[in-house]
Amino acid sequence: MTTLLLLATLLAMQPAADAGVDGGATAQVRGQILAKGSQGPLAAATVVAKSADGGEAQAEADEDGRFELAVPCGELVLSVRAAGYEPFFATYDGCTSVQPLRLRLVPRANLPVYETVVTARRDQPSVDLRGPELTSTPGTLGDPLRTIESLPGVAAVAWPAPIYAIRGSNPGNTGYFLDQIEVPLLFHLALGPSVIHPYFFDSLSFYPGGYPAEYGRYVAGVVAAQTRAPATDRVHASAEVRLYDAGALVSVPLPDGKGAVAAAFRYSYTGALLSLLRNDLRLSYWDYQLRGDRRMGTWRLTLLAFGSADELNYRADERQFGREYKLQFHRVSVRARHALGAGQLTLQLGLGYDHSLAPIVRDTYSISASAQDILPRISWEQSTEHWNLQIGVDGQLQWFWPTTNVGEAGISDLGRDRMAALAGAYASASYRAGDSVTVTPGFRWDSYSIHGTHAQHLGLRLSARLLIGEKTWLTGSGGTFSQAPSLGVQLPAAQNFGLSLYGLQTSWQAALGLGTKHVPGVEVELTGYLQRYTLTDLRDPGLIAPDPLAADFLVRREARSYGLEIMVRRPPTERLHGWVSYTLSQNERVLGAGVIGPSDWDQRHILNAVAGYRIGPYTLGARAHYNSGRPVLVYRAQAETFVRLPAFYQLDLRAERRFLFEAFTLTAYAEVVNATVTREVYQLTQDSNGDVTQQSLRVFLPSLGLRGEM
Amino acid sequence: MRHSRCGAQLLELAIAAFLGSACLPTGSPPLGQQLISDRTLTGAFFAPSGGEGVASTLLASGPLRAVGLENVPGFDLYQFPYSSVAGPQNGLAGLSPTVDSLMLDEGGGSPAAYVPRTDSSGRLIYVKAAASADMLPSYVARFDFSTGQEDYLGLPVRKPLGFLLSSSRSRVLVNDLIFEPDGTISPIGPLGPSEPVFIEDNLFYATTVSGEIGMAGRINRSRPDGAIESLMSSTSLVTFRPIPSDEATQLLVSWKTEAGEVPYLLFDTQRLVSTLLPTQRGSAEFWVASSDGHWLLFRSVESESTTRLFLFDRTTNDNASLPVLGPATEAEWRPGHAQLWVPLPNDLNIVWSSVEESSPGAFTAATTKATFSPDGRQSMFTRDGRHWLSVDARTVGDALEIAWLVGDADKPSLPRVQLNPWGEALAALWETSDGRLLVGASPVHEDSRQDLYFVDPSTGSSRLIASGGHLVALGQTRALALLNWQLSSSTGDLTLVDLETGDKTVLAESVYDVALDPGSGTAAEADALASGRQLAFLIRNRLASPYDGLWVARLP
Repeated sequence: MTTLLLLATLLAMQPAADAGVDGGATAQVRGQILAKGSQGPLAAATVVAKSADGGEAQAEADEDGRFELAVPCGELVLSVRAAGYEPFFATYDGCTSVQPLRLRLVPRANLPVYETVVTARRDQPSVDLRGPELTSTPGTLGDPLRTIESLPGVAAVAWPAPIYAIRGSNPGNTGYFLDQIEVPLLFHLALGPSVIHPYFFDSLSFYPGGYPAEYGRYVAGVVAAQTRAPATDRVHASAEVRLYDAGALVSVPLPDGKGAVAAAFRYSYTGALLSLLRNDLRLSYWDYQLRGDRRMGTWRLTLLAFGSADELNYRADERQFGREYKLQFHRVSVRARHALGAGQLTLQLGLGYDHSLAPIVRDTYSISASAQDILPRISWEQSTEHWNLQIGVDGQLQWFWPTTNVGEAGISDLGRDRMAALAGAYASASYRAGDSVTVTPGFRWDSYSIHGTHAQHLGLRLSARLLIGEKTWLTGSGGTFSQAPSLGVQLPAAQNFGLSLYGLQTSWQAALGLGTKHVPGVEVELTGYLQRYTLTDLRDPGLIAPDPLAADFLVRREARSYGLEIMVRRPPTERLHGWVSYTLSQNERVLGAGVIGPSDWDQRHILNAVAGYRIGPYTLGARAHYNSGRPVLVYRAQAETFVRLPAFYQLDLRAERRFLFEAFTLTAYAEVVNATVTREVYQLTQDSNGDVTQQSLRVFLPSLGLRGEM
Repeated sequence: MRHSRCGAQLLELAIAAFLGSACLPTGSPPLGQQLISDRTLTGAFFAPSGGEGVASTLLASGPLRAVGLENVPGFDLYQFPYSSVAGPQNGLAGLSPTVDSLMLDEGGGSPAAYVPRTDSSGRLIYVKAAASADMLPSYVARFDFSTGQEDYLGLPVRKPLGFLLSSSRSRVLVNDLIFEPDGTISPIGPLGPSEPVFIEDNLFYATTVSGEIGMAGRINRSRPDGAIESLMSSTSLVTFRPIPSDEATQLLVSWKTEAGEVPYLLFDTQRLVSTLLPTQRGSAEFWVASSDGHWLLFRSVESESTTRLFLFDRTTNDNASLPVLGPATEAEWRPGHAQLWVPLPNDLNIVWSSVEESSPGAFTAATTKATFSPDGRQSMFTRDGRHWLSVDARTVGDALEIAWLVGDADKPSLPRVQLNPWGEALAALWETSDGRLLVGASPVHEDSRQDLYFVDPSTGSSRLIASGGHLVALGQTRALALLNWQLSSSTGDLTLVDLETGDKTVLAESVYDVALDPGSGTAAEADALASGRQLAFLIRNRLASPYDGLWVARLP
């Protein structure tokens, strides 16, 4: 294979200018090393030329993959090595062969397809995802954000809807950030993909609790994603066509060589497909992302813009009121970085616009809300051998303009014009004593001013990691957190309300973990946690004619969650790789009338097993999921009103085949979510005879896709 | 050594404090005493007692079930003491129903809608489904709480309850038998076409007899002593209807003719004399009487656009004829006034007043008889007649919004006070004894979740005092409401609301039924929510709770 490749490459060569030098003569060999399938240069690749008499010359490719070697005339054995690529060998005569050389290395077949790395990022316990694992985990349909539903501590409470309750909190208690900008909506409607193009992500860090001080205003966890800096070397492009939508990502270097711009866009034709099947339904969505990086003197500037729009119209009957949903948000931010003292100063200013339209109360009424945001942030960070210091301030100014045809006298301000001014200041210091101990104390002060009501909260943070021997470690994290009142799930333009009515949501969290690598090739981490919350809970979980504008739509409840999380991981460098995560949890709420009961999202047992296996250009993957069911209110129940849904399991499968061409890579994949077509019960109803019947769905999501990258 | 022990103690203390702070509070128990721990009871009731100073009987209904041989919807009743030294009974399983197999009231969809009726001795009268094929499918029964004895009374033919109670509840009419308080039974013979009525404790009823030229009618009275008097007779069938009056109830007696029932005289049930109706009224049919029973209104529709009204004062024999241009479908005598209001479809309101004795006045505003009172009263006036209700409407998009207004009935053209805000629907209207209004307005057309406004129609002030629930009872200075009403569980927080300040006192959470002891003292009659008044309520939390079940408490 390699020889064939070399022959092909040599045929493409130009004649060398100084060819034909006899014995004792030398030649300069110039060339460039590229990755097959992408045109990407391979920096730091090593080129070695060996002559028959044992002479050897060696060079390292520069950042553009270029190299230059002085070699004697005559037949040489040329070998090229680069991390992650098959070694390249060929015979070559530097004086007679054509130059410059262009060598394409083939990526190694056992490269990690996806991996989950449990690391102490910034000395905080988190699960970090990066690279192909963001887009190729079975059951996610290629969405990085869906990967978190297979991680410990996460309950997908209304699968297949991507709504996640982390460690017993409500879904709206977990914050999602993209380059430290809050994302008000994660997924498109009707089981659509996430609103951020998968290839726009560089990495994603999941903090189920005890998140760093630089993030705030959420009482549970944080999902912090970072965008990928656009490549400055050349034009990169990728395009993807799936059953449901099509998208593309292009990055282009700036002409002056001082930066690059990347843009992504996606459009769904799900709506058009659905409209063919049902004329009572119209669905459309789109999203976009843009990132531009540029050096300006000693400053590094980053422009980031992203947004999405969804529209769903449903009219079951001409005589009925139609249901119309619109969700839309746009964010644009400019970030500037500059050295300051021994550290780095970061200034960021974001602007946002949100809009939501949704029917409420038996579809007869609707609420439309718009919001404008100003999102400033300033931080300074310094790293030394032993210390990592971080201080900063951030803010959120929001103006809301809701309109509704519900005549409402309740005192919730969710449906009223209001202004919210939120500010935070934080500092954290990580101390590292070699590899054995890392301690990170920190604090965060948050101020909330919403519709004329003010509140403050001082949150303390502490995390630590202690190495016990070579293969075992202990981790601990905890802190106190605060959040403005929130709905059960996040929606654009429906935040920051009800402070006077419900007060701040607060929590304290503590987690203790033990990890080991004693079994070769397997990493085991066991974490126990205890979290105590004061939350704004949905008061009526039955959601019969919900009226979100009513003052008692939400209720302030005390809550507690504790549990055990186990993660067993076989690293992606193995041919068979993946992880098994198990969560045993108890999530409780003070429900009044002397009752401490399970939360609406309580799933006692959650088990996920994700595995991948590589065979040549193929990668086969599977994910198995089991949960023991959550409590629901029995609809139309006469007496016993609350029971637990039956357990649910699913099996997801994925197969991928990669085709390498000279300048681009083509990947074809097929994925099936819930391959066993398991019935998921979502509601129980009692009839007049007292018999309880189950309402269920059999969701089966197949996906076929073709992705090209260059 | 000492240091390490001290350190260990500190660590233990820190761990204990840490775990202690993770504990969850359970909150305060409801007000009062729990009588039974249960989640299946459907309704709580106070059955009126047998007399002054005797406590009402506390009852609760079990779940809806199929009863009798024909498996009709019904339920069982359980009696509970007012207090329990031994603590609450755990569930209905160990209890036998006090009265079983009751049938639902006509039109009542659930046992919670049941209204217990007792005679003057406190015995419960009810309709029961028969359990034996030897009996009729259903029958009226009487249960004596003091002896535990159940008596069969007869067929449940009297609408709507199946039986009829006299004003003092001493006499019970079942089919054609009167059960007297002394235990005797007075048969009254086959009844005529009119429904019998108790006026105080006298039963007036019509019978049919064979006359010389066919069937003849007779009106009789059964006196409290059981004696039967024939009050008047006719050569044809007669019917009657009672007309309440501030003096004695009148019976409006009608001929039964081929054209229908033609009223022709009034019979005074106290003086036992009759007055012929004036002949000028022609063929006009009786429509409605004034609240004092003096004025009677008759109506004849002369054409599609003309209605002729004839008014007659039975006390003075004054009469007037009033042509109305339009199809008058509603008319109401203003309470406390000899004044007739006739709204017409074109929003024109004709007001005729006997005091002015002139042609009727008119003004333009839409009004109609409203039924928002808790007792189902249908009227376009407040109870004292000082204010009148009217309607305004507007269109917002595709939706029609209706606002109700209250105005001075003496000056109906003056500006009025809006009761429910635009966008909300009027769902309930309660009146205090001093004429102020408690308005229940539903923001989302969900009648059980109302915004409660306290409105003074005299000053025009309107104040929101509570949201998200509905009123249970209204007192002189405060209201008892079920707030935070949850549609999925049909429960709310039982809350006392101060009418002036809106201050709230939560008595119990997750309450789904409430009963107020009708009481017997003067304080209770003066203020329905007087401090110390007894009430019972049922709690059912969304998860099984130690507080679930029947509770009794006294109002703070």
